[in-house]
Amino acid sequence: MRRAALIAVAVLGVLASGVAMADDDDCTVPMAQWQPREAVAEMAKARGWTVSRIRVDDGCYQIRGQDENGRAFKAKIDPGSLAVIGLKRKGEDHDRSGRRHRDGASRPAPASPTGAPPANGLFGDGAAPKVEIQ
Amino acid sequence: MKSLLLALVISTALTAPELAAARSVTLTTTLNNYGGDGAYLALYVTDAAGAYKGTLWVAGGKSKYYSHLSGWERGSGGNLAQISGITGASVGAGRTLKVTLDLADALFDAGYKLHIDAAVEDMRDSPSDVVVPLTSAGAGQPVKGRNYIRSFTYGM
Repeated sequence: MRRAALIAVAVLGVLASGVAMADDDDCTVPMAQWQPREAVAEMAKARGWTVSRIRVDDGCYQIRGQDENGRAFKAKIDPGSLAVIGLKRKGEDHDRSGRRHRDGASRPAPASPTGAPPANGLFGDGAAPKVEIQ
Repeated sequence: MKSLLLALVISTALTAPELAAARSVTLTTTLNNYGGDGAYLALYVTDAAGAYKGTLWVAGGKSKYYSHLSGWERGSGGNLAQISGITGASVGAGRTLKVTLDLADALFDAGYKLHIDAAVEDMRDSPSDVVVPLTSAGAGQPVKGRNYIRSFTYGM
């Protein structure tokens, strides 16, 4: 009984960590396990993609090019398994990585941040700055 | 003894307001229509020797991108504790960020400079897009940025 409970806790822990990792769009594959760029190009070719650029971003490969239907796209590739972990086609909304947050237009600016600013000697009264984006 | 006391009183009267004095300043940053995602901005101050003094504001929600604000990163060491409470959303192309804060008087007319680093996803990083000396005379004078910033003004 106790053992079953322990296993259940362990499984839940693994699941929870999976959820937490899925929230992040970084890859964490050690360099020794990275596949070469040529392998990425091959994988893209096999999918019918026309690659214009392969680069490394946030620890993942990133491919830019045109998909099998001729549409421009950007894909994030796991450098170890070469699995596609994010795909954004031109004209579509942003991928699941949550990068939409980089656009101030899609997230309301905080009218007044909470908490006092750091005591760095610049802020005269120690009050939080008032901020607006117009 | 009496003269010592008098000197103490006078020096205290002269220095105390200097330490405490501050003025309300509005930093207005307007971006160009550069046709990209929202920009990450870091507004920070360097002293007369060019050494990093502190940060006033960082626009941009994800700290993992702060390394693209390379001038700020170099000065602050990327220490997030230094910007606790002074961060907010990134600023979209063509939009205006207004930060109103109480700035220490000692920063004006003393060789301090305000820098703004800018970074946009998939576009070139722009450290020190704006560098402007903090002077009383310079208040209200718009300054042009190098890449993403159309104009910057500090008003008192």
